[in-house]
Amino acid sequence: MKRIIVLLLAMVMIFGLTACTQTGGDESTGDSASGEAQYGGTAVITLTGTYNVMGNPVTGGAQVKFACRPAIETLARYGEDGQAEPWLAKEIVTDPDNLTMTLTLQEGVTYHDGSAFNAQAVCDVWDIYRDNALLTTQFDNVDYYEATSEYVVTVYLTEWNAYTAIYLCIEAGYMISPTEYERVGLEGLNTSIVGTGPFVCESYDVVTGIEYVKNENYWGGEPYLDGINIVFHDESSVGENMLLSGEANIATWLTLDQLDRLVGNGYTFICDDSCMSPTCNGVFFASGNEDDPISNLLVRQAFCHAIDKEAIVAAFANGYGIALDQIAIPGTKEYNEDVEGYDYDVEKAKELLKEAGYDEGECVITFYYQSGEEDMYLAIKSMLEEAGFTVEGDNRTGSENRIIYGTSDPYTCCCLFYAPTTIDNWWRYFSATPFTYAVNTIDTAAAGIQAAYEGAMTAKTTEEMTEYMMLLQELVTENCMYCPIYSTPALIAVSDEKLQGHGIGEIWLCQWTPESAYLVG
Amino acid sequence: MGRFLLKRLGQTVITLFIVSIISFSLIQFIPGDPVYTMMGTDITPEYHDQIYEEMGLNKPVYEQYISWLVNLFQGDMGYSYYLRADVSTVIAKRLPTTLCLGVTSAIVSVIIGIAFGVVSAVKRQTLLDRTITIFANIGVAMPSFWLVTVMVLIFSINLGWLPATGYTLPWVDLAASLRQSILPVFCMSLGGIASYTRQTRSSMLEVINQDYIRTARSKGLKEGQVISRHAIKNGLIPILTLAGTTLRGCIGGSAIIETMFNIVGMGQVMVTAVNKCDYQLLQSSLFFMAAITCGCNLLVDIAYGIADPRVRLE
Amino acid sequence: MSNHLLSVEHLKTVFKTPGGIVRAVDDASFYVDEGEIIGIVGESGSGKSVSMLSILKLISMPPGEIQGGKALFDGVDMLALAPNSPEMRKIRGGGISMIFQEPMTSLNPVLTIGKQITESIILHLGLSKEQARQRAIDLLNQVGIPDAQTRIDYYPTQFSGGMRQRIMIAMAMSCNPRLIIADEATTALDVTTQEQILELLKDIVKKSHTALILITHNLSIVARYAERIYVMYAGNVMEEGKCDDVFEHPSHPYTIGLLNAAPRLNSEVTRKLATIPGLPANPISKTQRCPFFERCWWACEKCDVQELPSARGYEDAHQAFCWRDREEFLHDWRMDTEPIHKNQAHSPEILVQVQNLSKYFPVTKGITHRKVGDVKALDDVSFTIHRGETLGLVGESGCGKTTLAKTLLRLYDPSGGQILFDGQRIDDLPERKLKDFRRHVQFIFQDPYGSLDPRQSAGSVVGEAIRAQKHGLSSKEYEAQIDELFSMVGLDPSLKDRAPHEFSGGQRQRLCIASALASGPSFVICDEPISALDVSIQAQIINLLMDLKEQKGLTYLFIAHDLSVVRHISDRIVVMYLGKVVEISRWDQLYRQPLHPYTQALLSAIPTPDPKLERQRKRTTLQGEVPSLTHRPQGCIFHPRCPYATERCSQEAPEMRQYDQGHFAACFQIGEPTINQQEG
Repeated sequence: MKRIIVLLLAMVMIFGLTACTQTGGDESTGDSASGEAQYGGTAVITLTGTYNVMGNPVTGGAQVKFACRPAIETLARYGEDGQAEPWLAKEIVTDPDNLTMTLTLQEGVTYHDGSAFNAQAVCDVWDIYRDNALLTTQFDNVDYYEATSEYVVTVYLTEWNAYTAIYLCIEAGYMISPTEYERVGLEGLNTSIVGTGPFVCESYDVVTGIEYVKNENYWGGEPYLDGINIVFHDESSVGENMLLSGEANIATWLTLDQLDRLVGNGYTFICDDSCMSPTCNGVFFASGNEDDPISNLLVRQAFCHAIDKEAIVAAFANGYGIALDQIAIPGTKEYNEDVEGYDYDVEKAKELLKEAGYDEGECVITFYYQSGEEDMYLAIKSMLEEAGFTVEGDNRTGSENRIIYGTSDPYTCCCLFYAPTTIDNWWRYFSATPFTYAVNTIDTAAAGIQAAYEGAMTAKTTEEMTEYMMLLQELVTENCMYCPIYSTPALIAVSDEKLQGHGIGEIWLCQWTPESAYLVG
Repeated sequence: MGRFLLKRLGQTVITLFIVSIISFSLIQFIPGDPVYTMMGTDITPEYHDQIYEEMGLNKPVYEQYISWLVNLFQGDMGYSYYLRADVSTVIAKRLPTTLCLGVTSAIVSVIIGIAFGVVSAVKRQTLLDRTITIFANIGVAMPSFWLVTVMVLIFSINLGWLPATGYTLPWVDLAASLRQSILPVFCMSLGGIASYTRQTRSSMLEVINQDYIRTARSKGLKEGQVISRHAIKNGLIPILTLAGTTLRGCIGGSAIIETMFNIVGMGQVMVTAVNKCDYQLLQSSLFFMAAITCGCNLLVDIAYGIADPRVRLE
Repeated sequence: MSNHLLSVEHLKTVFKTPGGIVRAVDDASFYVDEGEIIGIVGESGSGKSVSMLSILKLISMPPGEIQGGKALFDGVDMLALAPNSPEMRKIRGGGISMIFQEPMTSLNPVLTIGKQITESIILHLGLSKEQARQRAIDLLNQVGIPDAQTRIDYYPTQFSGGMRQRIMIAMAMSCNPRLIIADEATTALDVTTQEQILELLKDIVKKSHTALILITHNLSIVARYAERIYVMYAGNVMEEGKCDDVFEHPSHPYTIGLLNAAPRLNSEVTRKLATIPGLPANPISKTQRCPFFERCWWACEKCDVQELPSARGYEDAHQAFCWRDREEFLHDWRMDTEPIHKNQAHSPEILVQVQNLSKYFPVTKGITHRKVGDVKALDDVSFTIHRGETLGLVGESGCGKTTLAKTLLRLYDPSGGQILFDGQRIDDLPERKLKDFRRHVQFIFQDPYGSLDPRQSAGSVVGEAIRAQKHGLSSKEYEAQIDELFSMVGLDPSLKDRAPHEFSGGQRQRLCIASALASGPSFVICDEPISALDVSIQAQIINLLMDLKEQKGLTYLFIAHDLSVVRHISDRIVVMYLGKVVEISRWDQLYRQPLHPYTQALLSAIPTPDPKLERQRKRTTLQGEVPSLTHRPQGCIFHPRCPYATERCSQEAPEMRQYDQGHFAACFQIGEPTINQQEG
């Protein structure tokens, strides 16, 4: 008996020793100062959730576009001013008068599967997107395109749109491999990540994550890192734990609470610049029904006056957001300083309601919210009821609401929305159907919003566009199309400072520079 | 013995059949439209209908069941829409991990738990016994997710000795595998150790007070021989029942551990399947796990037959 | 003195319990010489088993503690050895081996018997596995296990109780011990099996010149087998001496009480049993006084001192520990109590009539549980019970007596035949009509410990029948009835709020009796009501039952396996074997002139507490064991074991025929019946 126990203890000790001596297998040697790029090492980035369309980024959300970037590159990237800057297309020339766009491509670029990247490949890729209806709006004003020479693509437009370059070179610019498409088909493309990027996908598992290894033949030169691991996790605490225990360098798509904790532990919030496309959180008024209270401008204005934005910022933003009265951050070029907005004034709200013909409690509005949004809903509800509204909550699941208030069968309610405030086609939210499932309350044509919108879309110069932008903000606020409330960071990512040069969170949440990332320390 | 085996095998087959019916029907009760949940809601109604038909969801329930069962026997467990792979591939990739971890935890629970239990029983009412019993009672009551969080906090985050996530199979990289196994195995087996300790202790105490132990002592055997030759064999018979439960729990109940340690195993994939409403994956993996459980039960029954001649002879 | 094989001097063993210190053995001394058979007699709590376990250090040391004394075995003081020391372990099994009471649980069920026997052979004799196995087979042959070569690899569950005890004997003998201790080795066995085992044991120890200590509560066994005896009470030795001397001239009041309390098979007139008054001593509250003081008929002021009585010597080696000389009470020790009036003539009224009663239990096989046969627990049983009489029912295990009792109570439904109670058929009554019947028929169980609900108070248990049957009683009337019942059975009514576990065994049995009487029955079935009690208490309960019968005009069906008790209490007796009735007769006829071979064997197997008589008696020992009910013999069910069996007996089953007034038997070999009638 005693012998067995001794044996057990011995085994446990041996296990423990073996395990603990393996610590630090990944640490690079040397303790160089930050800033000096070093070769070698594998970066680990965590991503909350699981994703199954990595090979076909245009069909996926922001996280997919983020995670596939080491392998799949775009024709252009966003610059700091929000314009398309050349990348795979080394020169982009737009001619608004002649309705053409000409791209000159980088030469000597090959896909990971060996096929060549050239003008024909670009056209093939666009064909894939267009013919399979994966992207439609981006090709709305495109007549046709052709490879005019091996490395030159010319696009012929039906009408001018100021965002054509962004549409085609960034949004539709994900250069997947047409050869791969031929080989595996559209379905197979989802699980096959092939592109031109600095890293090659070695393994991809829908639940575990992606392992990238260095692309020796990268056109931009050898990347510093040996590999990048993007780790998926469903359980939100895993990303935090990996960062804390040193197994990950950057944890992305965290919650504000986790951010608080990690910053408290000394980690860096790498999207700290509040001008980097924060999300505007607010309430959208959706309707098709003229009799509904929401269709009445006075009611909407009363709504906006009833919300105490500062209180919500204090309660929900964890110190990382500000109150907004437009879908734009003060100080950015989208922001119209002359627009006043609706301040917090409960008395005014009650007055407006009475003016609209509703006594205390008579005005009934439906508020649609999804699970996870209950807290916000309850906060807003209590504020509205103080001002004399009666709020009915509607908590149906996502799949059902599509059927309820798609464009074919409109349904009146308010719902919460999250819109980017810059760069990511933010002004798209001002169109008649800003979300795929909801119609705006107001007649945008009559209010002149449609005209201003189209003017901005077809502006030929930056000044023209700015003019229309400001007009748009004015009209939108006047007609109370939305009730913007506060801003939150678009991407919450935290770093342990060991990975540098990655560009995560600097310009756009899905855009970063894996080719220049390196590890220190 | 042969008849005994045949009888048990027959019972297992019947059980599996009933399990297949139950696992199939349970899934019918999950709310939400599976196509929308899987594909997202941005698809057109036509596309929705197309996928609906492709998945066979518009056929009557019993037809779906029979076609599923038939496919199962042929080895085709269906296609997972979310993971975009054959279910058999998915299971084949994940099952070894779950089995490795599960079996390791089960073995650890059994050995350490029984050892503690025997010591506790033999040294009854001493300080050693009381300490062990207190810890066993605590261990049984601890929820596993809390335990995981605490362990990760202490050992991965604060001390940095052990990794917080991940798992490699032992034949791929033994050292890394050992290192990554320690926390998950510990968290999974703690409950088992505690219950084995308690069960072994009470079973051994009962046995030690039996007449045949007194007879063994009166023959002049050493106390150690009395315990090891006479007491343990009798005392372990009720433990076998517990072993069945623990093995089941280790293999099937690893979902929490796997999710929290981000280990790619059967438990985690089933949770994902439920969340993403992936019918085919869920059905087949549920049935598969149930089959393994039935197998474990069969093993335990056989072990019973070997250990206790009274069962064999009846 | 110093050349005894085992000499125990002034042994003191205590147990520290939460309730107090239990003085289990309080200064006991005894010795055994080589090749001698001695008996140690005592009731429960006398310390006889504990003293043996103490010298072998087999008691658990906390809470037990040996506080003093010496145990010299072959010159070595065993009490000075540590319990697990190699010397002690060498003695255990090698020098002294023990045979325990419960053969069903004393063998390890998961090891083969061969393994268990060879284990100690290899340990003590140092033989190789092969040699040990061969020796084990030899031993099994010696103790009468048939087919030893194959059966050595069987498991204990495959043997019957008697066989297991033989295996224990083989195990005990395996290492050539100098001394064997048989601790109530035959108490759990049937009468005929008990005789076989004891004879076997005696043969073996005589042949091998091994000493034997028989520990028992049964005086008759020691009368038959022991050369010297010790009588123990409450941890002390009360009397010791040569067997003949002690039985003829008992010199201690306790011995006298024991001898009087046991009913005798050979007494002409049945007298009421002289009981030892009071309850057995509580070992926790033991003082330094003579432990028998409270219950002694002849206690006086001389005895009331705080000192244990010193020994008084009488004949050679015969001494008693008493303050008074035996002359002072020996003259009237066979107390003349009043004779009992037995029903010599039948009262004409028949209360219970059983006709061709059968009860079969189906035997199923396979997953589908299809029936492959029947276990015939009762097979064509017929008898009558007259109002006011006591019918005794005798038989060994498997004879169907408990099944009969339960079927009479309609706890089982009969498979065939009729039961008539007071002229009315009850075997086919539906359950709801049985309520009245249940009021009239009550049952007293064998186990007073298990048959009382531990969660109710004693009064509540007793009054349950009252509550069930009579409604509209005010609580005062109810309480009064409970009190009356308590006093009727000799219990203090103030005890009615206690829980059953606070009563002693005999008191509990009184509670059972009171509970049975609560509904005012006319017929009471007593199923072995005294076999779990001590001898001194048994007498009290027997007297109580007989008194109650007189007072209340009850009719009893008294089931027991102890023939002497049955003879004492019954008016008529039915003998059963394997589900069939083999003999019915009046109480005195049965013993004077047993007709059926089985009855003869039963009577021969029962010892009497008279050593001289025992030596002279001619005895026929039955061969074999009681077969199991699933393998009933064809023809006459007794023929495989019958010394008179012929060809006819193995083919035909004999019918019950009347041989004398009220005397019936079923056997071909008895001779022609004098009266040509069958039992109706």
